[in-house]
Amino acid sequence: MVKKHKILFVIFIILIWEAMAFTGKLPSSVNILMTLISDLPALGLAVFNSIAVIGKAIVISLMITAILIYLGRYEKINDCIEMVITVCHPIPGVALLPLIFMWIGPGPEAILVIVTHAVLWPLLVNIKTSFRQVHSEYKFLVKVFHVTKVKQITKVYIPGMMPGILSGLKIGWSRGWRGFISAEMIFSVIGESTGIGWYIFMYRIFGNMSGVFAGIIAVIIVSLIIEKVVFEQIEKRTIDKWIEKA
Amino acid sequence: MKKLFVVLLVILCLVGCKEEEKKLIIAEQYGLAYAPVQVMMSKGYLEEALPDYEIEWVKLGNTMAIREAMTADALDAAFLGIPPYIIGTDSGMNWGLFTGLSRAPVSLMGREDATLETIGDGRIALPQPGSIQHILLSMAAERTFGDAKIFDNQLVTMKHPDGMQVLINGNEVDYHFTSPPYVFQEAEAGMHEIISGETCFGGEYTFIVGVTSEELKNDTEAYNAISSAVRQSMEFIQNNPEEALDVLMPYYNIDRETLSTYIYDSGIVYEAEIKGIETFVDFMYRNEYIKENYKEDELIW
Repeated sequence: MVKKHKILFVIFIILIWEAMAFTGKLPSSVNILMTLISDLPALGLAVFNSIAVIGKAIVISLMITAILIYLGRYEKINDCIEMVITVCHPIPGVALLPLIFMWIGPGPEAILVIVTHAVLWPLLVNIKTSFRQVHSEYKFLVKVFHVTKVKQITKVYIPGMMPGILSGLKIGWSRGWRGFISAEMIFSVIGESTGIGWYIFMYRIFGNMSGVFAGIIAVIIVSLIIEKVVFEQIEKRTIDKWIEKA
Repeated sequence: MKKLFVVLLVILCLVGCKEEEKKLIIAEQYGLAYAPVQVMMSKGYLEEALPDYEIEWVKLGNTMAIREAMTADALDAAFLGIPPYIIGTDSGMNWGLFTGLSRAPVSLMGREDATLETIGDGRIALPQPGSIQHILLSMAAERTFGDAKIFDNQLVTMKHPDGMQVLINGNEVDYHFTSPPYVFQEAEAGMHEIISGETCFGGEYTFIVGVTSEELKNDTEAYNAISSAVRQSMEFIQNNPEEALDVLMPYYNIDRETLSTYIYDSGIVYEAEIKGIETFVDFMYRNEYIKENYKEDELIW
């Protein structure tokens, strides 16, 4: 249920927005809404293309995470992985652009690499932390009770790690959007399927601020929907259910 | 709640009010075509002519940032290409041209020798749609194929240094529409010139122009000072090559001789005259890059 004070807060923000728009520093919210509606097909396509790339990046990141956690059972390898995370995590993907251009050139793959870089590290850190926690709590218990490998994974590790996996996915998802939009605003291959970053950039080039904000609002709406529908549902069907059972 | 409203009101007032001090904010840009601006800045011509004013130079990343700063009244004068300026005017910005700055050899460069007809579906890198490079390419496309947008689906938008890198390294991009010094550096690296900007345009045109806000235009003293400072800088480059090189050296990471060749023997001309504005406007209007048609005297202050 949406609470009353939240709605009031949104109305309050819109009022301030309109006051600012009156001075000419911001486009009026009516214009933004009109652009949003009249541009719906193009915007929808851009959002779809963006989600496709971010989704791919999340799947790739999950696979890499699984491999790295598996390898990380050995203390020495784990130390190396930790080092890579410390080095790579703070670097924004766009700073790596020159390198990426040199290796794979400016194509859709370059954007995928940047988005994967944005998604991978927060995802890895979160999942790894939760893995280590579960591991240290249960490694002797599963030994004592002779739990089979399969059951260890499905009944102990995955349920135990679920909060970490979910928060990793959430952060990865939002970092993915950021990486994708900034990459697309720096370079883009037109004629290929372009996403929301290009949409915003295009309106910026032609000085149409309503269009820019229409793009930003589309990102906000999509993020809200994914947060409310996808992540909350997963949480309900997994963590909440498991807690109830226990 | 009441307190909150008061705070917000104060913030709104602060946003709404403008500083009334005498202050000039000018955007500084990087590139050989902007050399007079760098001379003007280093020699302090403007500061000399306007002792009562506080003059601030800001660095902005690209023409879009310049336009946005101008909309926000955070900029009084700037230097940029004609098409981005026209697009800005078309989206409701009230500013005008006060001087030309330079003509420069911009070119479409390619890894293989080719003509427009043989480009096919090769990828073309350029700064962004609506940039002077894009408009010139579209002009050539219109003349050759009768369709200005024929190349629009094979563009890769990126900054000049990135474009040069991918072109020379041969990664996915086959052509690069760029300006000095990248044009020269690409030619030195063995790239071929496919078509020059002047051929695209069909004559001479001003590459970089100076624009001011209406406020500055109405402040006659400052307006005249900035116009003559630009001319003074051009004359300085013309008449004192050695000193000009001394001034410009710190801005460019290239050796003195190369810089001298670039500035004096490569076709860059620093001149205040503004050429070709109506051709740009007509073309951009005809191909719907802008919504309205403008006359030359509407745009020049």
